[in-house]
Amino acid sequence: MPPRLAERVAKWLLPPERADEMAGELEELFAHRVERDGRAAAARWYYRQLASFAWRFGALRFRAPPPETVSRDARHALRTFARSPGFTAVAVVTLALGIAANVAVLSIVRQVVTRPLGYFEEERLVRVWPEHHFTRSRFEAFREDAQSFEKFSAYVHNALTLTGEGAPEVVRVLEVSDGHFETFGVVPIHGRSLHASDTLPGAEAVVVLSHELWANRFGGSLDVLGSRVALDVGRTVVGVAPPGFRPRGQREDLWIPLLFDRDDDSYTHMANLGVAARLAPDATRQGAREELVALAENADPPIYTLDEVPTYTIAPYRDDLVGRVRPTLTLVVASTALVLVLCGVNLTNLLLARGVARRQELAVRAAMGARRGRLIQQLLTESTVLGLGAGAVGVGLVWWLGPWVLDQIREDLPRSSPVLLEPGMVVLGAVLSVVASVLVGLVPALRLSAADGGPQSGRASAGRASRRWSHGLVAVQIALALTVVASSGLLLKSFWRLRGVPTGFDPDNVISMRLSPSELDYPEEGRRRQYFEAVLSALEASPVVARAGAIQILPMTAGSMAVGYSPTGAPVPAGEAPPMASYRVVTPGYREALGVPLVEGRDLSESDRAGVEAVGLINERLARELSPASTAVGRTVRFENGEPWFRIVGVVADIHQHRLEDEARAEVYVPLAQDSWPSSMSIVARLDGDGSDRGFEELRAAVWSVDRNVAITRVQTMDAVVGRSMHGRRLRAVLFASFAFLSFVLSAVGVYGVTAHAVRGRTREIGIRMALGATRGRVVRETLLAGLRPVAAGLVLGVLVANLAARGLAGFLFEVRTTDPGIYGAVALLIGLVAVVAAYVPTRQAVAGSPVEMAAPDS
Amino acid sequence: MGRASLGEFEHQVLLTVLRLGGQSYSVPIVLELESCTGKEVAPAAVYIALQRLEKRGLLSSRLTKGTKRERARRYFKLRADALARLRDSRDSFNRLWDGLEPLLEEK
Repeated sequence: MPPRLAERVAKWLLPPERADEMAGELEELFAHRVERDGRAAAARWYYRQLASFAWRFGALRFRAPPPETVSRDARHALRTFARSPGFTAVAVVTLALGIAANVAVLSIVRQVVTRPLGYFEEERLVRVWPEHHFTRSRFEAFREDAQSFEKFSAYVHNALTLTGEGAPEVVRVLEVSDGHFETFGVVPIHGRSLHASDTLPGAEAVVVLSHELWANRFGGSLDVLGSRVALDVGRTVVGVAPPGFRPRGQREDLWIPLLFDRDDDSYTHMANLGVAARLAPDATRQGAREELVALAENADPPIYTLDEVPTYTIAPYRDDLVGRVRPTLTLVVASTALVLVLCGVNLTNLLLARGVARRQELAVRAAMGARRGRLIQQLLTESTVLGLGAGAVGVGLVWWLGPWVLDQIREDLPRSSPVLLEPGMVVLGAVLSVVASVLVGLVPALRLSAADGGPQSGRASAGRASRRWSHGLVAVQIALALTVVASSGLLLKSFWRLRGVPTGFDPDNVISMRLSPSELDYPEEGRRRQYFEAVLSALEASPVVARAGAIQILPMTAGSMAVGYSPTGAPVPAGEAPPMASYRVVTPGYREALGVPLVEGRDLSESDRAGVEAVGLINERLARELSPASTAVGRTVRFENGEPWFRIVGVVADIHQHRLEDEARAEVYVPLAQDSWPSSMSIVARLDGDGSDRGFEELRAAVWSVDRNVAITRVQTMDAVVGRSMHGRRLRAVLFASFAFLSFVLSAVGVYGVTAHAVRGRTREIGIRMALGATRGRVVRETLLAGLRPVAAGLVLGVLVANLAARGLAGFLFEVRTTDPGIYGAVALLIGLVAVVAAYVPTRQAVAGSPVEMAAPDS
Repeated sequence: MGRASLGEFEHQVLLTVLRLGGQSYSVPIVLELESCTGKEVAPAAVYIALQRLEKRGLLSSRLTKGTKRERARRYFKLRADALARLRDSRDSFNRLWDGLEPLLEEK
């Protein structure tokens, strides 16, 4: 016997007048196959043949309906929909939401991940990562010797203050080695790019402007070439980059030459160096990697110890740029697809329920000679009209809301994405809506046009098959809804868990802002230091400020500085990567202002100044590493080469440096007064009581009372800083919560529709039973139970499916297991309750009338 | 459409019916076709070919009543026209083949 399911499918697909003989003969052939190839192969063959029957006979039967019938059907469909605006609105909105979500998400994927970066022979562009960091000599040796690369260039991110005409402005700077523009195959549209001679000591300081900065700040005038602008030093403008050149995906304002410190060849010095390279025309990434390894192994003097194997990662440049969002986007694509399926299932069910109400109309048409194919065509035209309408609404939604959504997530995207709705995406929307509407309409069309639904059959039996379908679809819908809701539950719980993680400091009532005094106005470090000290005293004098301090890199923001240290006190052997401590320059008020507990020893004080012994604080983590047994206070922290760095005067609590989910790492705090190169600092001010509304005005006035020419940027409360560090996670949680809400609504609508339809069909039966003495309560109970059976099946199925789906989520969860029983239980309960209510409402209505009226035959 | 030429597959189906004694139903036809051509043959394609040949008057068919032990089958039988067509096509092919064998020898 062929598979049972397949046989059923066959009954449908085969042309009705010959279905019997064909099914019989197929079965015979199937038996031959089983004997020859085995059962599994035969079953596969059978399904293949069904597809071939569907294709060949379907094509024969539906071959090119004349255009006038199609347009007549479409007009008829429009009239039918106009008659039931409620149904039409629900149906269109359901599908439109699904299509809009998918078009938007696929647009973003296309714009961010798959769209080429637009550089010349982009496939040769790569990013090169060494196992640890590059050293200067290593980078230069590779640039000279590696044959696999046509260009090999380095860059470092920086931010500087641009002063001069207009308000001081903090600009994003890329310090680049020569060959940077050439690596990307980009030529400045005006002037020249940066040459090797620009990077030599003593060369004239130069700058290349971005097209945007040139247009906005310098009015797009060519006079700017050769003029001097005030940056870290006065720099001569030598070129303007072409518009849209964003080598790191985000906006860059200007490019300056990267000057290597000839005296420092440590890892630390190059810790923030990125390397972008262009492979030689015939080189492969594999070959290039092997060449780098060979060069590193044969280096003289050796840079690796014998038991170390140098490794290099060479990734396609685009992957490096967009790789980090790929897991999230994959997740989002999968879940939006699931939502579309859910919408489709819901709509199928709506159409089935509605179709049963239209039986009479179809029966009349059949009686007047319409063949089944004709009816199917009519019904499919209807669902396609519906689908196209939904597609138009969906694309409209993307057009309307897309820019807003894009704004919300812009910070989470690695590339700017200028166009959301390309023409191709509109086409995709149209294709999606046609495919979805045909799939959605197929089951109802086949069911409703089926022989047992014809005029000769009684209502009861006709309803039963449809009801089976409806129930099956409700189960599927509930299962899908549970999958989506449980997934979002897991993500929300992770988010919630993460919010509960102590930051290690007290972010309430703390405002931070970044001050970048121009290196032109403050060329000497002493003056910069004095500037910050003056600002801090002005702040502390302000009535709203309780305590103020400064730190050069704010916690919970990207960006870090790390220094290699010696864990034992002895120099770390040459070639061995030293352990790194993240290193922050602070002022004495910082710890109290941010509320980081002091665990041991003393805080930094005003007397820790240049000229006296170098001191610093370390965190608990580093204290455990340096002296696990006894107190670390009083010991000396040494650099990787064994030279003393500073004496530990206190130990502070661990705080999360970047993200809440990362463990605290080794960290040192050194006083600004003793640091050799103070630059930009973030001010951290703890406000008195509830001064936060007036707070910012007061702070700005205090800062500008010292120097009106310093740009104030990134003003934010510490709460917001902490919140932003969870941005991606919040985005996922919010996205999934909205999917979950949608799924809830859809499944409620589905259960309601099916129950309402089922009880409406049974009004007479219910009336008769009540007339015969059944109580309302009993009828309600029994009807409810019957209606909820598929819900129960769906819940069980859903827990299984959701569990499988949750495995894909594992990487996004934080301290939540994919099998968290609480989530599944709560979600199942919630969906169950929604279903009970959705089923109860129509049931209650059905038994509200008088039994006599209900039992009366249809008028 | 009377003299419209036979498609290659229709040709094969007709020959197969002839091989099966001039009368058969789809199952043996499919199996015989598969064993002669050495390729998997889709029953749906055979059905379509049989239908078309019947429409063109080259085959006639009758449906046997299904019984408990055996389901309904549609038997196809070659009509006189079909034999004439097969003969014609063989003759024209033979004339085309005439004298070509040496050219096909593997060198």
